[in-house]
Amino acid sequence: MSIEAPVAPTTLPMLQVDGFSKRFGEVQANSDVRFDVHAGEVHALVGENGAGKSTLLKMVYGVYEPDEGRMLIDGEPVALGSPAAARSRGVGMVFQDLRLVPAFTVTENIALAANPGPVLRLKDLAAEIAEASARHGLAVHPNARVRHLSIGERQRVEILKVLMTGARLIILDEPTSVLAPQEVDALFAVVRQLTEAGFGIVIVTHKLGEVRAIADRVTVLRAGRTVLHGVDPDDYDDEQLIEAMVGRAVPALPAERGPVPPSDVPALELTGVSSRGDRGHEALTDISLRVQPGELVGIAGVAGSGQRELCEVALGLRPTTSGEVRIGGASVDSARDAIGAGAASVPEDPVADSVVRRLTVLEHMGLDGRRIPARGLGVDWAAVRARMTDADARLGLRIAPAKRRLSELSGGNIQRVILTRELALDSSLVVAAYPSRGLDVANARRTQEVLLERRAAGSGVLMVSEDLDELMALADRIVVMHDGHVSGEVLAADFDRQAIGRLMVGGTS
Amino acid sequence: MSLIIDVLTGGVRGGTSILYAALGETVSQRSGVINLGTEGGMLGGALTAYIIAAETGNPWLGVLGGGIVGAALALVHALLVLWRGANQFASGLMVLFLALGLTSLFGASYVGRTITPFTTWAIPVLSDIPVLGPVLFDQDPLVYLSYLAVPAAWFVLFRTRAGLLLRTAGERSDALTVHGADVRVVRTWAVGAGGFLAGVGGAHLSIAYTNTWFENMVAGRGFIAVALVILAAWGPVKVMAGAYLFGAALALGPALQARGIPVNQFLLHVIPFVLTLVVLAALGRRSSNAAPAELQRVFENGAPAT
Ligand SMILES: Nc1ncnc2c1ncn2[C@@H]1O[C@H](COP(=O)(O)OP(=O)(O)OP(=O)(O)O)[C@@H](O)[C@H]1O
Ligand SMILES: [Mg+2]
Repeated sequence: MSIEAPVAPTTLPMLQVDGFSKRFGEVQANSDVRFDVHAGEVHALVGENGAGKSTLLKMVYGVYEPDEGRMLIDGEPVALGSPAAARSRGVGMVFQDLRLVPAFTVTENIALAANPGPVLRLKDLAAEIAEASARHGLAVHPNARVRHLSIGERQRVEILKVLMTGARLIILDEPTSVLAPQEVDALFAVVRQLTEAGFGIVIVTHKLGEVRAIADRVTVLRAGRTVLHGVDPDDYDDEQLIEAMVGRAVPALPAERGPVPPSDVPALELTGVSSRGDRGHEALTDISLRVQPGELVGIAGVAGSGQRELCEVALGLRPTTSGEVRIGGASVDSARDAIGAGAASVPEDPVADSVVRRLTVLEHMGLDGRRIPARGLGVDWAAVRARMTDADARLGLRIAPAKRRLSELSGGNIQRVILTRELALDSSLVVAAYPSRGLDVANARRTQEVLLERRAAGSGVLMVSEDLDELMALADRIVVMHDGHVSGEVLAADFDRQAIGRLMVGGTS
Repeated sequence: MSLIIDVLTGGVRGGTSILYAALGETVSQRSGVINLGTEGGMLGGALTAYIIAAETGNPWLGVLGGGIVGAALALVHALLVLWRGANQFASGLMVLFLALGLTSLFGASYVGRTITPFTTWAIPVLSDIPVLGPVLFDQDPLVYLSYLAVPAAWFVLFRTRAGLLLRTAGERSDALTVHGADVRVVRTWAVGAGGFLAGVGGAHLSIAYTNTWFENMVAGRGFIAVALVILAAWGPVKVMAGAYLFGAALALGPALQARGIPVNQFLLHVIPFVLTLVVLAALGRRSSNAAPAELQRVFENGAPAT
């Protein structure tokens, strides 16, 4: 199935891709892909994990050479060959896995792209950054070290960086998967402002709501092929778009679920916990929180309100300055305690926190915190493989082949490896930060089902998400955080977007 | 009082060769390459400078030649590590032994030769300042040059685009690729420049400080320089302070002996190394936080990540 754009474009496209193909070993990541972007429009690129979206965009940005096909910028055939060449032609890209240098300040990172002269003008640049960040509503501190920024803040730095390099065509690879709803709105406001000024924007997303909110046209990729090419999203309903992406319909979540069984010992209990953030400031203040076995507690809040620190404290990864953490009644002071007490975790940024890029999928499966099966002095890989096959069969997130290195996997596929490993464990507590981040519609749905299965099996589940709809669909209770405090708590029966939104900005419900 | 001044003056003079070498190693490691061959670069620089000074009578030409030989040895390391995928530690040690062998061979006939060395030149006015004057401003020209080299290295690393690219190569090479620079090219330049500085350090040793040549005369200073980079947390200014500390440790023995105070010869020789160990143990964790991130990947053999 391949459908043409209904209207013939009246002007020359800024970017036109003709029949790009790209192969990585045995994987045909792109085959004969067509794509174009006009000035002043937002073109959404959607598709399953591993459909080839990032690959297409990296070819446009000159990171990869296409095996076949050609590309035109302003009607002129170009062979870019390098990102620097792409930038000089006015193409800028924000990568899905951000490419900032953690040890540098925001200004230094931006200087990498936006300071062509031999001597760095750090002061001037910092002033320009402050000015641009105010103008575009992308708040960042020019002198903050990127290492200390949350993933949402890093995203803003990346976008700012591209804006400041003078790109006219801006590629955003899954920019919203790390942002809170308000931040998404703010980003879209930026995007609208840019398209009005004549910029062309490409945006990758897994959320149809976002496609409808921002995109003028949408292209759907499936298994490296163009299924829908530059169509108007309004001409298609959600089912049709999902079917184009996945090749089948995706069932809705079961609405009914059992009550939380009463229990004396909470799966997770925080009493008066305070803790410092990486910058030494107080990131958590006097947090008390309980998750019962068989209960799913959602954490909502604007990005950077202490969610990351909360997860780390709960898992014994971050020292507390006061208060106590208990998992299943056992006191937790270290990651070892938490694992011993039966905690599983899906970290906020798996690539940074639980992925060893050069190890394979199979090797990652061996690293689940349990004893690695031994055979003599070596590892019993057959047992690890059996563990993996079993986990994959039970969870159904269809992880990548065992021998692939994580460095070769797409963003969503990395997430699926970590989810499969952690959620297959017979854990008493699951701490999941943004579990469906970067997943396509079908896999996000499956992940939600798995979390509910963990709950039904009697695990306590603590889930952080930026997606209120997801939290309201899954949680028994939502705890809202603001600036390191618990600003309120809402029970499933009383879920109300407005009320939660008010709590998120520190108001009262 | 005069003992203190002697030790401090000796600290600056004796520390200067370590300072140049450590500055060079800082540049190299900031780009993500460890060069254990620094000791060899110093040896090569020391002998070359000595030969040129002996043959031409011009110590400045000696320094230049020493730097060039230091750079050439480091480029052998860069070639093996960055372009042929060799292990950084094995390659660095290989370069050291190569330099040790070559300098023993070509240096044999220069043992005992006299040269026109650099001489100390007191800077008017400044050298009259009590204590600091004789310590800092009654020195040889290479010492004065090092006063410029430290801020210059700092400026290049932290205030120029070249330095930013160099540090990016050492922190996150995939970010560098995106910005249109080739990791291997950047690292090759850094390693070469670092080697030049090590060669100059060696030259200071042979034609400004000891004014002699003998086999293996660098005697571990290159390794002290490598350790110093780590405990100075890859910062040029801290490297300077550390180099003088080691220089002072080296100068203590001769200063005591000159006053007829008996000290155990062997004890004096180990002081700088014990000092290194103590400081490393004390600062280990703190400075490892400042380590360029790509140094964690030295076993991946310098081949850039994709
Ligand atoms: N550098 C690489 N080496 C080998 N295979 C790769 C490489 N990059 C991508 N692939 C493979 O190509 C396919 C397409 O990957 P791509 O990253 O383009 O997917 P995507 O559509 O961006 O998915 P996601 O939504 O998960 O980010 C995947 O099967 C992936 O594993
Ligand atoms: Mg992708």
